[in-house]
Amino acid sequence: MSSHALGDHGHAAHAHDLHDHAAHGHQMSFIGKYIFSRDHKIIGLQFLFSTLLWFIVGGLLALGIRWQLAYPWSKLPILGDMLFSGEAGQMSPEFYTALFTMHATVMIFLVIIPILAGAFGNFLIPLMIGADDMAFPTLNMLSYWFMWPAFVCFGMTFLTAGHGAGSGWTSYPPLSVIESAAPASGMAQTWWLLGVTFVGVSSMLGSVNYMTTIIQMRAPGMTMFRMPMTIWGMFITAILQAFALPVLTAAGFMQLLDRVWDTGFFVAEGATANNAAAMSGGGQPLLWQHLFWFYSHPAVYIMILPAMGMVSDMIACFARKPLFGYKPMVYSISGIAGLGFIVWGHHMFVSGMNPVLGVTFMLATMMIALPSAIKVFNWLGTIWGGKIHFTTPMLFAVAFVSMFIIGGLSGIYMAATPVDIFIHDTYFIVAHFHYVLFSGTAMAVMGAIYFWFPKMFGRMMHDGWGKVHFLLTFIFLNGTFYPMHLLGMVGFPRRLADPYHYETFAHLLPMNQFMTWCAIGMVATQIIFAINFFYSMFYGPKAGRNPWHANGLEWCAPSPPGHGNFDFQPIVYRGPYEYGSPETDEDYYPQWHPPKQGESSGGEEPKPH
Amino acid sequence: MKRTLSKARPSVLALVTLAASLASLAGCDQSSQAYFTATSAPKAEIQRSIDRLDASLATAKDEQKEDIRTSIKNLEEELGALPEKQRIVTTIVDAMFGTPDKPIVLSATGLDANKIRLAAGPTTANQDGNTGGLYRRHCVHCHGVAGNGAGPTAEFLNPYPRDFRHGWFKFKSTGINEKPTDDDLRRILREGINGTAMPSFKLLPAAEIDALVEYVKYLSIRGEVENTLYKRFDDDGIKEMLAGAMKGGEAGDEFRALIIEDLLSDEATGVMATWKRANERIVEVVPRPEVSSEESIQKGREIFYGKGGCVQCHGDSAMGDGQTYYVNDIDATRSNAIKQLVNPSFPMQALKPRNLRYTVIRGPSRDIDLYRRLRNGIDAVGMPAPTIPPEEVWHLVDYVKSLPYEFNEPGPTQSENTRAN
Amino acid sequence: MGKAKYWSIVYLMVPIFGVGLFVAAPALRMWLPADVSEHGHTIDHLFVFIMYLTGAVFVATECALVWYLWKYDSKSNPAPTKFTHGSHSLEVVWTILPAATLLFIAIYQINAWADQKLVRRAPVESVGPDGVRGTADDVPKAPIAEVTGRQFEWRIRYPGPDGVLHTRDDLLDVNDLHIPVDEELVLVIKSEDVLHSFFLPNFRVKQDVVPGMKQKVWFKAVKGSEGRSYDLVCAELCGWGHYKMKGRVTVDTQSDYRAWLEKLSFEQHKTSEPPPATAEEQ
Repeated sequence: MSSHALGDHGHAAHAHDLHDHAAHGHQMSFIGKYIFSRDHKIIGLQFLFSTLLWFIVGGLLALGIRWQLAYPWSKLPILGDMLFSGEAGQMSPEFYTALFTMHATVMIFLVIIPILAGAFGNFLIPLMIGADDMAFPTLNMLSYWFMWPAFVCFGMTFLTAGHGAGSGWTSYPPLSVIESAAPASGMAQTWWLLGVTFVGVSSMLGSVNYMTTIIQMRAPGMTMFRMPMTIWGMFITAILQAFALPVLTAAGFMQLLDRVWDTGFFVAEGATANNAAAMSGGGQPLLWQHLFWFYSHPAVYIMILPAMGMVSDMIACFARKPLFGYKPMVYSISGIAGLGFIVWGHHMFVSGMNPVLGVTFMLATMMIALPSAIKVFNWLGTIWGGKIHFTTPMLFAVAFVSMFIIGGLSGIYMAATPVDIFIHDTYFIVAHFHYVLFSGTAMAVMGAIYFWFPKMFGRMMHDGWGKVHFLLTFIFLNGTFYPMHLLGMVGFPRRLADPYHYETFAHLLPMNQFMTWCAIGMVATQIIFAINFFYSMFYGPKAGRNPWHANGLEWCAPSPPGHGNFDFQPIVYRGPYEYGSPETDEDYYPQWHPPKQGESSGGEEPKPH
Repeated sequence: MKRTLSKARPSVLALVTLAASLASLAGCDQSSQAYFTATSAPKAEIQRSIDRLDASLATAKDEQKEDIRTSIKNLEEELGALPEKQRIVTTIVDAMFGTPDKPIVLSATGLDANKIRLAAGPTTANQDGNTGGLYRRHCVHCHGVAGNGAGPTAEFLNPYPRDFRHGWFKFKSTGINEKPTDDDLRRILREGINGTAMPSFKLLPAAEIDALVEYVKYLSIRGEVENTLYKRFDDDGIKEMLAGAMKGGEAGDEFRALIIEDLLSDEATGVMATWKRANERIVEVVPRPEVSSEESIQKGREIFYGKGGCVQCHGDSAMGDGQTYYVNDIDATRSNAIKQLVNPSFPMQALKPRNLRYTVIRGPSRDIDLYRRLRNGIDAVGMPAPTIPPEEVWHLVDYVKSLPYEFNEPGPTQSENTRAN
Repeated sequence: MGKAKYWSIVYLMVPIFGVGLFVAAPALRMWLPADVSEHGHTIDHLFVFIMYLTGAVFVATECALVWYLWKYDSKSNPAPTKFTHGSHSLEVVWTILPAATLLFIAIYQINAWADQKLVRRAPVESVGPDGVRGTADDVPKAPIAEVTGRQFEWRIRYPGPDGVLHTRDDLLDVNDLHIPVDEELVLVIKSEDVLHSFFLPNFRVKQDVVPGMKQKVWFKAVKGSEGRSYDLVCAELCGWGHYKMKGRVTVDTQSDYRAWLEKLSFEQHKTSEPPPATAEEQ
């Protein structure tokens, strides 16, 4: 039976009668409403749609990579004749470097970070803490509109030589600095750097806003330790961004200067490639790596902490049981954030950095595995003894836990410095971060879309098709990413357009073909999701205020909430995870319900203020 | 009734998004058979001449202007006739040499069809290692499917990759205006050309290297035939032959045979003539003079700064800071060969004399290779041969080899961040 | 009713296939490549040690997850929710245990790291940087070759008869490195243009080369590896032709190694070649 049983449709009728207190007075134009909106929900949805579009782009780029790895130098389907007539339709090697560079760039900077912080952060933060909007609505609008220059810049890279930036998303100098070092190190790299800068501005605006909003605008009774884990995740993420981003931005400008004015921060004296005139240099390529990872390692946590928060909310809701160890969970994400700043060197164990430093970073890295482990145990503790409802969001949330275990454990191999000597820059790493970012974060995001879709659009997504979507995605993603561990064990290096001319790796071709077909299946599966998403948006059953019988404050607002969010002033009486509390007859006890009332339904109309 | 803002909102956003995504899935077509790309070089070359003449109109004296206008008109006519010319030449050359997927090996070329088959066609991958399509696996990115040195990556390399179609090769054991031997091509494939983007393919099995050598010759011969057809298109005999060869069936066969006879096999002017005699044109290496190496270097230095004339280009410092030419500048007063080296649509590149202080010598760097290079000069890029007796070339070799180390005293090693136990 | 709990089977597939694939991996020839270095076994040992450790945790946590999902399905389990907000003692236990384990791994591996990256063993008889042969313990051994990465090949320079690099008698080669067997050896690796990474899968050696820096790697090819060749892989993105940077390391016996150097020297200095007529007809 579908999860709709949980849903409470009785309130659809109420929604019409609700008087949206903020709507009257200003009849906004189309542009004011939908384009340059300052409403956090519209901005959240703008982020959501934009990032989902880029998700498609990133996925197709990934298929390009997989095609080359499965059928190296065979004609590229569809695009081959258009782009590569000079070599009979097979992709050029610099296009391959552009593919993996832009796949990572798009997925990290234009999908994962903005979909977590931008889409869900924007949509959920005011709703979950009981605020009527963000602290700085205009800043919030700007944070979305600063993404557009970034979209344009990243789009421009595809139109330049080599069809994209090709120095990897890590953009290591000197390859990225010496313009003639590769076709993609020309204008494409400049566009790329500008794009990253704009994304950074957007993130920074968002981060300031989130911190201020969470600290200042919580509803009465919403103490810090009554905030849902999602908010904690967003809060810590915002702090991470605020402190790490300036370093990346500065480094990006330094690289830009290196490229434009030959400042030579990141290239050694006399640096040259491809017979270009030597640069005066005087800098150090490793400096970039330090600065880049000083941001990009915390960025890894920026890409997972909000997902962890959302998963905690979903699991508690569908296990109908309080989150196990709420405070340890909070402490562990804070611990991750703190330690996250001192582990960046583990990306550089074999880079030429002083090996003595490697030991320090190794110790810190080992320790950062600890909070992650604590979180997993607490999720298990939450599921233990609950009453589990296998809804689509729950399936995705549990998939997150199941996959995050793999991604977390494989991290220990890399933290072990001697082992890292062998597996560094092999597919073992690729497996590791795809298990964390795709199998982890993307699963959480998909679950979150199913979970909060009724709040966003007022309608339910189809649960049956959601489960089909889940099952196929789950199977295909493991088919795609799990064998990467084995490839990595053989030493199969990343970023090689044609690894098979090495005798060591020639026999890995069939496995790569299998993985490619799984990847194609995985991307194709998302069509189910897209249809379900758009169909449900218009024709799905009406959701009502609290279809999942959840406790969070967002569920007391109308679905979708109007301008100003709440039609009464919510007052918070308890933590967000009082499911199955003996104090009520129901199996949930919403945060906004005053205590000691004989209430019968979570959807009951709270008293207007 | 007041509408809440939220009502219409999602659907509008959704529609905009959907429309945008559909718009991005624009049409696509594909054909299955690979062809040699039509040569764009003549067109670009003519166009560039027109542009230059156009530009010169502004500064020209009045009496010159008429001439310039006539030249432009002639060139424009030539440009107009080019597509038809191209169609005929392409059809005939394709009929003679086949397509990249299905090459035809004419017996007149003396090439080994089995080797060509191994190198041509799409890359075939299997887990035992690749066995087919070697050219497209290893070479095509730079040298292009037609061997015209204009693959997708070519434009970004310095120097540009070789355009095989002109039959010019730089590093060889034979003299100026001669073709390289198979061994020469093999050596380039095995050792790469240090100082350029041509990497070493030393680790390929010998049979694969041989196959690639054969295919390079095939592309070269094909290109030379194509070029000859363009050049002699309007010659009397040729015109009839071409018209005949355009006919289908047996009537055409006769003329095609004539073309092969005339352009390929002819002992004096045929394309194959130079290829066949390559082995006989290997430059003789005289024995080293019996002097100590220090003495030889000293003599070499005198030649370098004296009668050898090396300083003119390589500079007093021997750092290659003498004179610089532009490979792609068709106004340069260099030989025609230089003009033809690369696709004229690429940006111009400086043709720099080598910095001899740098430890990397471009091209093969065995003593014997350096000897031949200094004895012959370098074909097609304008390095002339010094006019000195053959045995004195050895002194120059020794001097050039010593240049990188002339001021390099092995000093104390820096202390390391490692400790021994 | 109560069929929903079968969803937990999906998650059960994770540990089953996860472990299964690793069990089947050696049969699929997907295991650590043959190790022919002296130190490599410490890395392999660590890898396998961590694999068993994480494997156990993996199976335990995934099975617990599946079991809880199965058991506490709302449709088939009538028991009420166990209303608890956590357990302090449990938290302490599952903080201390993993912390201790992780710390153990951290300390356990430090020596292996130091051996490969920090402590270069002096040979019994060594040639110091001043070219003097000696047996002093603190004299690091002179490198047997310099390997320079450039787009897109490995240029190799042997020091030649005088044993010192960058002198006139250096021997040059490309992509084809020969090393003597059973000898602790040092290579200087550097880059001419951009970052590359000197990766020898079979020797468990990997070191990025950074333009402007001179790196050293040291290892010892074990007896039994002589006469074989192993891949030299570039493992750091170095541009469009990154995949082309394939080199080869051939392990020779001491006499073969000397013969190889002599052959290189002969090729480099010879003044005549046999005519190629026979090659033409092959």
